Amino acid sequence: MRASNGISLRTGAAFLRNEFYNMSIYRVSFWLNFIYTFLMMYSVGYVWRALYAANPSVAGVPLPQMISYAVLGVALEAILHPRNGPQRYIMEQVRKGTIEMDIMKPIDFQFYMLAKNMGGISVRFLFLVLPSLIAAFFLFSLELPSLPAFLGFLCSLVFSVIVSFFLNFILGLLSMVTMNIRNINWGYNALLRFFSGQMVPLWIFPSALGVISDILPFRCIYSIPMSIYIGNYAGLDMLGALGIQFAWILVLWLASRLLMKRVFTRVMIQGG
Amino acid sequence: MRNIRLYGQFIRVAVLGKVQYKADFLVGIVSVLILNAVNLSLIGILVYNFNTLGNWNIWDLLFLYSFWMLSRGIYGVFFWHLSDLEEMIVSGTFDAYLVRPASPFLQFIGKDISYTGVGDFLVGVLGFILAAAQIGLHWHIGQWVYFAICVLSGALIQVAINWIGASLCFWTTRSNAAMYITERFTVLMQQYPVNIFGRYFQIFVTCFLPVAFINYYPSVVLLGKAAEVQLWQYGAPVVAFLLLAIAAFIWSKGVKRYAGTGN
Repeated sequence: MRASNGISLRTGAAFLRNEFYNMSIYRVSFWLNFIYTFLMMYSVGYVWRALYAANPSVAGVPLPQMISYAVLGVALEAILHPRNGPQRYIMEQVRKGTIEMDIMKPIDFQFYMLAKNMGGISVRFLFLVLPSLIAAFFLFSLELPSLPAFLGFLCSLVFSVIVSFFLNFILGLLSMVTMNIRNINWGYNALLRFFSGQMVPLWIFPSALGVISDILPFRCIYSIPMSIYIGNYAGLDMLGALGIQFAWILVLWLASRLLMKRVFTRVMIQGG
Repeated sequence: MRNIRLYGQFIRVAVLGKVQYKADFLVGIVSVLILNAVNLSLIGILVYNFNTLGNWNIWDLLFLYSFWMLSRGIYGVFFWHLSDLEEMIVSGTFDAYLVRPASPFLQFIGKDISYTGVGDFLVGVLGFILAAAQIGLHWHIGQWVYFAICVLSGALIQVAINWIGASLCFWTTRSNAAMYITERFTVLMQQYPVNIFGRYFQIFVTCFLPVAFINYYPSVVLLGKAAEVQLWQYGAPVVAFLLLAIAAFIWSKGVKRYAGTGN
């Protein structure tokens, strides 16, 4: 086990390097992404300002915090949007008929996908999320969170990346069965957009919808880390929220392992 | 005249190609409806909590959104595949259009239609009827005509913006990233009244990327949202015409350049 951990780490580092090279090829699209993130941050900030101007006390948090929340929602999209997940790669391999090669590699398929995915996400975090957040911090004079909130946020963000990976991975597995992922992806995007609290915070949802969003795992992806950042979950609430994320990670990990086993048997029987 | 007949033929073939996949058609429409429901509900939840956005209430916002959907539907059905150009250039399939005795643009535009636009248009019609009833619109015939012209202009503005975006790949071979980002930005802009975004943004989406003429200015005029409507705010058809002219110019430059280098 220990030896294999060493190999895993080195494999992971190799993927990280690889992704970095991949991304540095598309410099133009990097800058476009940066400009886009910026325009979006700027405009969501204005939407909230306009809403607060009419009715400052409805949302439950003061305007500067609401703007921090909204700006984070835009910035984190660079790593949490489903298009960064492994499902597109899996689908492509299925279509080309080369998925067998990936499955037969002497490394667990899920770990392989995770390492590959984390490589891309770390690079995007360092070069897209971080710079735009720093720029936003000065330009929109955002407030800094307290130290515990900040640490909680970092921890929660790692969890949300993992939850998002598992959900995307499950979509990828489904694509091996359905052979077409476009519509599934579309539905998933819509659900995520609505119930994750990315654009509109879940605490202002009407109560019935609020209950649904509590049951679903999507709030682990945006709402929980962002709420921790602005101090909406503090102390025990924060630990509870982190616990919910962790529980979802376990559930999704188990579900994806089971599903992977079933799908692979099926793929093997079909013979690709 | 020959071109129109030819385009008619192309579209007929494209439609016949699409109707083979009935399930795909239905799923496509349903996913567009869901996506729109999500967008509208999110705005709905915001306005439900805050009552108004600027001086726009929920029905005004529905009107704005439906206006956009009507024009987006028209654009989407016939021009959604403008973004395929990048792949055709990269893979070299576009070259086939250059050797055939018909305009490359006609062939490219006639190669496909998209039914996501049908879903958008449906949402537009339903939303418009609902909003019109709630706002209590009593337009005279001139306003209806202006409304129809503006919906069409809005569609053409979207065609022109995407046409320009796609044409860029004659120079850069990659254009989809830029098109995608413009699209996402436009989507956000069209859902809210532009005046809430501050002066600089308003200048940007009026003069440089004139997406405010797709639905915002026509809605301002038709709903009487400005204390005093200025003449240029009626300008959507003019903007559409100018943009189309620019797009056609860039495209023809691009095709010439592409054919010239002999790729």
